[in-house]
Amino acid sequence: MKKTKQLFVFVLTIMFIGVYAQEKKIKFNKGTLKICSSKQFQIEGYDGDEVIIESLHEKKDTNAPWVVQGVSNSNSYSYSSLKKGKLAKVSTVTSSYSKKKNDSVVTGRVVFFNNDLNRKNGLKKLGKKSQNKDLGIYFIIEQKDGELLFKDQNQGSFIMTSNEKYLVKIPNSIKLKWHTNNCSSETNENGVRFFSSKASSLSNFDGEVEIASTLNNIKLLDVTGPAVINTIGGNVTVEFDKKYPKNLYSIYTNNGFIDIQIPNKSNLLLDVIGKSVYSDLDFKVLEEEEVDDIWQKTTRMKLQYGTGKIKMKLNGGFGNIYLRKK
Amino acid sequence: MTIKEFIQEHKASFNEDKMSQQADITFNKLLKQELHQSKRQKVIYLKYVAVAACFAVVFSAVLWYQNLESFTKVEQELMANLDDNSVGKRLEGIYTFNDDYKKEDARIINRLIEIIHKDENANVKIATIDALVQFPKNEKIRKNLIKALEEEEAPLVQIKLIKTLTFLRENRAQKPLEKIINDNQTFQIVKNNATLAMNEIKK
Repeated sequence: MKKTKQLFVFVLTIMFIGVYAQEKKIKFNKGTLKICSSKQFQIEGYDGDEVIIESLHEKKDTNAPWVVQGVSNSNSYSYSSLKKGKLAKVSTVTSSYSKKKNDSVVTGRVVFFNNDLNRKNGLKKLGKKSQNKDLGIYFIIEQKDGELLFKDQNQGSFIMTSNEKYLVKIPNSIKLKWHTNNCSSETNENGVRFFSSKASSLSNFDGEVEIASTLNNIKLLDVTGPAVINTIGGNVTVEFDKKYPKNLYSIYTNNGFIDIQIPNKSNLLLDVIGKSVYSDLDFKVLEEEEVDDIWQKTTRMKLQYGTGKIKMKLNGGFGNIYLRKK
Repeated sequence: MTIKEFIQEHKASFNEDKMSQQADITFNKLLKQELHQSKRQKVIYLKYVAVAACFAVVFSAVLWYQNLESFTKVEQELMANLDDNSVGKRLEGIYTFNDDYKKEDARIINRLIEIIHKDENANVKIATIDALVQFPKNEKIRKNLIKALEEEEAPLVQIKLIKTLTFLRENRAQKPLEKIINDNQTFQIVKNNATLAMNEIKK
């Protein structure tokens, strides 16, 4: 860990070649899909018996024509490819490179190595480990004892998010247990935590779902429950288009907001705690009180919508709660 | 009188035949008492023990049955939910306890205490803390909440425990709070809550 603190060496590709819409299919229709990853996932439920992973980002080509190597003692550097062959300056390293083909360029402490892309034409990269990378999947997939696990490769140490985005289709018959950080209890010694500001999403899922995040935003669409969600500072948005809540919803956040769309068909008994509660719905207010939450006063309300059969427990901590019409 | 004179005077009493007759009577009497009669007594004694044991078994069975009966349908369902593998079911159990049950049943309380130490889900633990704090006078609950604060690693549950122990004005929480404040691994937001709690408790 100290090594990572003192010295970061990133080898980043600066050119992406082509978008590959290939899929990886894993037969899995019973058990739990556990995701321990800070990467951005778009998960969809469906009536099938396979977990299907598709990478939505541009595939990184490990044999890109230019490979940048940056060395630093205290700062971290990253490069992203804006346009083919152009570098985006992110930190203090200045860079320039020769346009001559097959040249490697050294500029200060940054080295540009040149790779000849044409050499691998017609050949396929060998080795099991390369299979997922060939499909643009950059996380580890493990399966054992009724559990399918997706986890980041650098779990427990330095996590860096990028533009990676995955579409994962999962059968409605399985359980989803999703940690938007690593699942290890160890936190990062460096105090550096990366997260994606874009919401990870789950849609059209009828199975049981557990989501735990620190700062990532979470968005659910047409998830019937049971849905068990907790986040420290992330915002939780729940929408319904064609479905409505049929099982328990339990959401805890310390200071993010909770925004729930409630369809007409719903029969909910809501227990709501938050800084303030906003709504445009006609609820039957069963209880209402101001709670002294040690350092701050919060509002607590017990509301009924329809018959009140399904429990919805929303604790926004110091965040607001929004309950809106569909 | 010397022994020699005594023997001579009572010579007749030392007759071998007389001795053996007396001994036989005594021996037979003893034999009867010790063997034949005692065997019968032992059997009777064993019978009493067996009857007593039967009564004890029946009595225990009745007690056990009454005990079982005292677990109402609601309680049985509650306990089944608390033991379920599904996180949704466990939460349903705890919310039923919080909203409807609200009784200080030792068996259910023990299960809830087990949950705050062992469950993997933060929502389940937070809801359980809400359930337990309904009984602030219960020393076992207070001690276990302090123990949970010492062991807990999930930031959201840590914050909940800190707030709960502050609400209970639990002085014994100072040591685990100090540990949290000085731990480099603790999330900053947890440290902030712990510092505020420390000031509040010391007041």
